Amino acid sequence: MAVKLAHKPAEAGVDWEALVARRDALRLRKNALLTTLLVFTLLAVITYKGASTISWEFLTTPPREGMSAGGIGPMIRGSLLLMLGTFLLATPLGIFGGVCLAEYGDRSRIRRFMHASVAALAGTPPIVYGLFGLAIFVLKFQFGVSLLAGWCTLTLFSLPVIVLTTEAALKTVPEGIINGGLALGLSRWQTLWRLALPYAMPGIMTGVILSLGRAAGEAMPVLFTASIYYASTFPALSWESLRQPVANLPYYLAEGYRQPGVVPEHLIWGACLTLIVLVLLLNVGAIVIRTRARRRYL
Amino acid sequence: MRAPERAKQGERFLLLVFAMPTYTGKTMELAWEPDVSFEPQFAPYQFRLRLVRAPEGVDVEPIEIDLRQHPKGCITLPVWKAYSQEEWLKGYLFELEAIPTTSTTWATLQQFLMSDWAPTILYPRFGMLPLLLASLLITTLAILFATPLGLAAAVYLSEQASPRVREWFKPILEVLAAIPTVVLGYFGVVMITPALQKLFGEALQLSSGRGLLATALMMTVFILPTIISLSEDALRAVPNSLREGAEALGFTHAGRIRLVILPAAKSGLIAAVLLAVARVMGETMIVWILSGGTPTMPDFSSPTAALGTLVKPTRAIPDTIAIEMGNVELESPHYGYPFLLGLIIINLLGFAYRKRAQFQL
Amino acid sequence: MIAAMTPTTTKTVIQTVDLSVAYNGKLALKAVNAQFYENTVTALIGPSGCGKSTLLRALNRLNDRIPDAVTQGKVLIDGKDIYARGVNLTRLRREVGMVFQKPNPFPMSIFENVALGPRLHYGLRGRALEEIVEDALRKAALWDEVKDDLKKKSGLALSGGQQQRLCLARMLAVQPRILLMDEPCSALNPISTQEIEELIVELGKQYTVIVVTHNLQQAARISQYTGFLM
Ligand SMILES: Nc1ncnc2c1ncn2[C@@H]1O[C@H](COP(=O)(O)OP(=O)(O)O)[C@@H](O)[C@H]1O
Ligand SMILES: [Mg+2]
Repeated sequence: MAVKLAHKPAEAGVDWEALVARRDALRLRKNALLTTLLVFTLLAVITYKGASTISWEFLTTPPREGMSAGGIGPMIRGSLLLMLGTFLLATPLGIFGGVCLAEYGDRSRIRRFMHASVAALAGTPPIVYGLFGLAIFVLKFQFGVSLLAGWCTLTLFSLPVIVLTTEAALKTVPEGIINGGLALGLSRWQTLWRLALPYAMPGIMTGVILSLGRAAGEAMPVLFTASIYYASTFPALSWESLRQPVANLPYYLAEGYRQPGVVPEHLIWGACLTLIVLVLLLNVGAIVIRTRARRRYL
Repeated sequence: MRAPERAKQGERFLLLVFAMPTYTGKTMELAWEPDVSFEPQFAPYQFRLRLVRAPEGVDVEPIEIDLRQHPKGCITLPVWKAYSQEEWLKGYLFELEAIPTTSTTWATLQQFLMSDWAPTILYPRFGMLPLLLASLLITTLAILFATPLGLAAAVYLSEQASPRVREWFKPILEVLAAIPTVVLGYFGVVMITPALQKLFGEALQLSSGRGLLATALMMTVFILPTIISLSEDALRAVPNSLREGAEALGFTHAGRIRLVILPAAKSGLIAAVLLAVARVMGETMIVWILSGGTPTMPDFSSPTAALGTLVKPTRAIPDTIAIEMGNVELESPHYGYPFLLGLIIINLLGFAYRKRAQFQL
Repeated sequence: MIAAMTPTTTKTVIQTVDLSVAYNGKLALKAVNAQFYENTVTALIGPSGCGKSTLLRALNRLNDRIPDAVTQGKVLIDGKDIYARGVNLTRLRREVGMVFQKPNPFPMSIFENVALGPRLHYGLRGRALEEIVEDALRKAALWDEVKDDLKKKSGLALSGGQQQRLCLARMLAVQPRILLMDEPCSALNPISTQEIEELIVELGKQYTVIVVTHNLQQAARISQYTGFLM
């Protein structure tokens, strides 16, 4: 339609083309503005509603009076525990997988198949990981609903993304560096370990942190595998805790909404804000690593 | 007619059917429940009845009854016996065999396509049509909302915005993409459902605003960053020479976008939307929180019904998994169903991904 | 290859026998028979795409990395075929160092760049390592320019000519006998080029050097022998 208008013979004094172009530009800009507005509204509402709840006490003490008062200390600790274990398990495994894919996947068809499989896994929704974790770790391996099963499930959940980013990061290593290493007589393994991996490490860590952030906010993988809702104490950490379920922020929020009236609204908003801050901090960390690395190499 | 003991689905079973001699004494009336499916657990099967043994002293030709052809639930048989008065009153028991005429596969399929999902009642039903339709509707709506918005924002970013605006916008998108879905869901509960409730609550007697529309709206927010950043990548991949060529031909800005750039980026844009489809289909938390949790068949027969379908509670596939996995009994037939639903989701996604792969080339 | 080498009394270090290399079944190098002599500089000249780089990479088996490159024929170094079974690639490449067209310092400090090879190959550390690094940097005529911030400055922070000399030093630090240089000056400005050329002449006294160049004058300036590939 705009095109037709543009071909209208210009009337005296009215610059149709300019007007139309301006209108179209405004229309398009409106959408981008809308999105920006949406983000700020979301953040503003959650901050506004949650900020008054946040206090040191809220962040460190367990819930009281049947979850209806107190803080969210155990949930934060549970989330951090889940993150820590997942980080420790998924990082080496994912980097190993990415290295295998990038280094040993030369035979193009196998490589393409492997790559497609990992990409499909990365696109698999979290709920499916939850189901899988339940069937395999909780029931088959008899871990029970436990921290351990949660680690395993979250590790599986974050693994594909880490593998893909590792592979992509290794592909950005300049050929010159690899050739230089090989020409010095370094073995393939030494070239990888001493030259390619350090070069790719910022990219890899960005991927690791982003996927951890995703795992931190996702309730579905831990829903059936690691979560407990009612947590009014801080159980002491020991080897035993590996076999016990943990409270965590996303599950607390999900249940808090599902059992309306039990958890008062201000607690939920506080927990929302805490979770968002946790996730955004991870994201900011990733961005910082990325820009630092860019500065280092360019 | 007596219900058989709970037989396995799809198996033959014996049943005893009560028959009364008719008044003339030359025929006998064999009656069964008019429903072709005897009991709910056999619901998807259709049966044929075959005479195994006639009662003592009754002569009757071998019979085979196609239940579908006797919707009244009874049949009159010619018999060769004179009846005494007392036998009239007593009646006879025929021994019949019920033979399923639908294959197990077909019956299972049929069962899935039935419209009631009630897995925890005595004779559970696993008709997942409402769940499937809800999932598809939510996806369709979310894509319908998010695509124009996201696409326009992407066009703005790649064709008009200054590099500085673009630099600004990237982190904003990343923040939106990073917000956990549970927070989005909660946000929907607080912001969207009350609004819907206010708008339609009285007219439709809503108990809450949860339903298809609320879910789809929040899904739109969820999917927007994906659509914008992928579409922008696709648009930026259009070579500059095309833009300049179009400019040289004297197209206006809008004409250039519509007639040259969008068509050139088409496959990339479709791929972006298909990824969005896949992500919406698999997203669980938002649906779990916002769908309302009641399996309902969508009904678009009248405007009111359609409106009701949009704003009344519903239930889709992913949230069904989440709800039921929590309280399913192990070892019950129900146990497998969440996994089956998971499989269905994976297949729906796989479909979207395969299509996407076609467009990504 | 048209043999343009005059018979000589010096010892032959490298001899190629019917060396052919094909990429994807397309011959890039066809039955090359050539000899390279000890402690001399040999220049290789030819139009671009005629297989000069391919020949160089065949001499230290860097072509092995390219999945669809097939090599036939023999390369004899001191009479031993490096394409024979059981040849230790690491040892071969330590013996046959290579410098590339585009300087490719590693993204680490200057010291680390040079120290990486000796440390990994010979397990050197401490004083011994520092000595070998200094020695290599001196040979590459870079020592005076970088000795002040050896361990702080990144190899990437150097100028183009310095980077190329760093790559030379890196190569020299693993004690090779044969040096392969693939158009080492083509990415450099005239002044840096002159420095590198002087260096090559100097190195030619102790090492067997093979330099690819597309510049006839340069070949004449730096080499005792010139091979033409076409
Ligand atoms: N990795 C490769 N894969 C396929 N063909 C190659 C590859 N490297 C070089 N070639 C081909 O081999 C021929 C010789 O290349 P090269 O040795 O680089 O030539 P030069 O260094 O003399 O310019 C060229 O035709 C080039 O296209
Ligand atoms: Mg070359």
